[in-house]
Amino acid sequence: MCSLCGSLGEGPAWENDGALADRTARWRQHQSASATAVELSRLLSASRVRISAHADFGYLLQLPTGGMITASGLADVWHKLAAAGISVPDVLEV
Amino acid sequence: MSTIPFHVVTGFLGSGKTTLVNALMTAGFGAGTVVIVNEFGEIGLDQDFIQAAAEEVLVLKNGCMCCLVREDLVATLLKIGAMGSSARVERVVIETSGIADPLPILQTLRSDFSLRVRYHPGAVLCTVDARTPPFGLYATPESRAQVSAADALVLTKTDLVPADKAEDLQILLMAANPDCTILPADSSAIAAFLLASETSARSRFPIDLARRSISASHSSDVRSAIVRDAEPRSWPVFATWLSNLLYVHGDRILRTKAILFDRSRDAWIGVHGVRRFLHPPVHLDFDSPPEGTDCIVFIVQGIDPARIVESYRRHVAHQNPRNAEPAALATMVSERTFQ
Repeated sequence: MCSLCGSLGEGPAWENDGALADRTARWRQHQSASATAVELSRLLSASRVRISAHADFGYLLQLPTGGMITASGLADVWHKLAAAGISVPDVLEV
Repeated sequence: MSTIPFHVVTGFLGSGKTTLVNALMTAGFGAGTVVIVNEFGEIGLDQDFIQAAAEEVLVLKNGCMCCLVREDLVATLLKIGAMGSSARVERVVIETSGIADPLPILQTLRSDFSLRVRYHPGAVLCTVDARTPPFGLYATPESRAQVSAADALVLTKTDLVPADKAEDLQILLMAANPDCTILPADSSAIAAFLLASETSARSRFPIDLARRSISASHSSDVRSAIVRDAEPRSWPVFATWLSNLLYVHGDRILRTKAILFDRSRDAWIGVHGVRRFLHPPVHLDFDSPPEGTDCIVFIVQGIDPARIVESYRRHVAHQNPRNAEPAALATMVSERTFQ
């Protein structure tokens, strides 16, 4: 599993190649996802959303209201935030 | 667990999708192929035109697959996936309705975990009627979406137009989607293209977009931005930036391609995205890519490429000491005629 797969939270190396059974791959996956969660939380700090990596679901989103939702991967994070009424930042503007 | 490749055949109403699928099935591509046909009307007819050469022909009616009947598609694909190897399903071909945007279909297959572990994307084919007038390519949002999402465009009904008109249309198509392959309406060539896309997404690499002149025709306004940074220092920062960019501006980013180096794994990674849809990264198996192709390329429409380059510099590159010199980071190619 490459570093980008780990950050995106999805990819063939995770699910399709049996890599989940590999402890090293799982550890790398979690390391990458955790680091990405930190970056996401930084980008979303103004919205008071906190993101953490979750071993089973990908990402766990903690909303300002206290609600928790899961996202299956990095792309899904933005969809879930928008669906929850959170203003999604725009990297071309910020 | 091995996954089943799925292909999407799209194209505007009357452009020859069903004829193409039918030709593929009768040309020997049918064994092990399940065809899913989406018809917008209540009474489906297309399946009657697809001959019995296919393993199975399923019909989704009463709505467009990209919006109204997406849950039906998921349920159908899960049933096919559950049949497993006993059903000898080697691939799935999805024929969309003529007014469908293929991207939501790809996104459904990537975002649904139960589908993601059973299927992997093959190719998106788009049929284009050679009689289409130049303005017709951009006449509707649906036709624009179909052309821009295609991995290959199949020019149909070329026997009904003069050769020079078909050539003019090809040039327009390449301007609208510089990353695509244009195929003749020849079932063996199309089958070979589909098979190559099934075996590996590696057929999409190496990229030559970085070395290709990109059209900026007045009708399409398609331009490109090339970010010459093949090694983001922070993958989490890069991944967050890229996913946000594609989520917010995906409608105007027709293609994303990149060959990047992952130093911690000592491996090259291929990235391929179509608008908001990002294919799983491909782990490339070469020591070094062809010269000049280790970069990130965005093909955009209706958005200033300089904004993307500047955003990259602000969010990603500034963290990399190697890129202290901004001028070395980016090259933009635009306002040139497609050769």
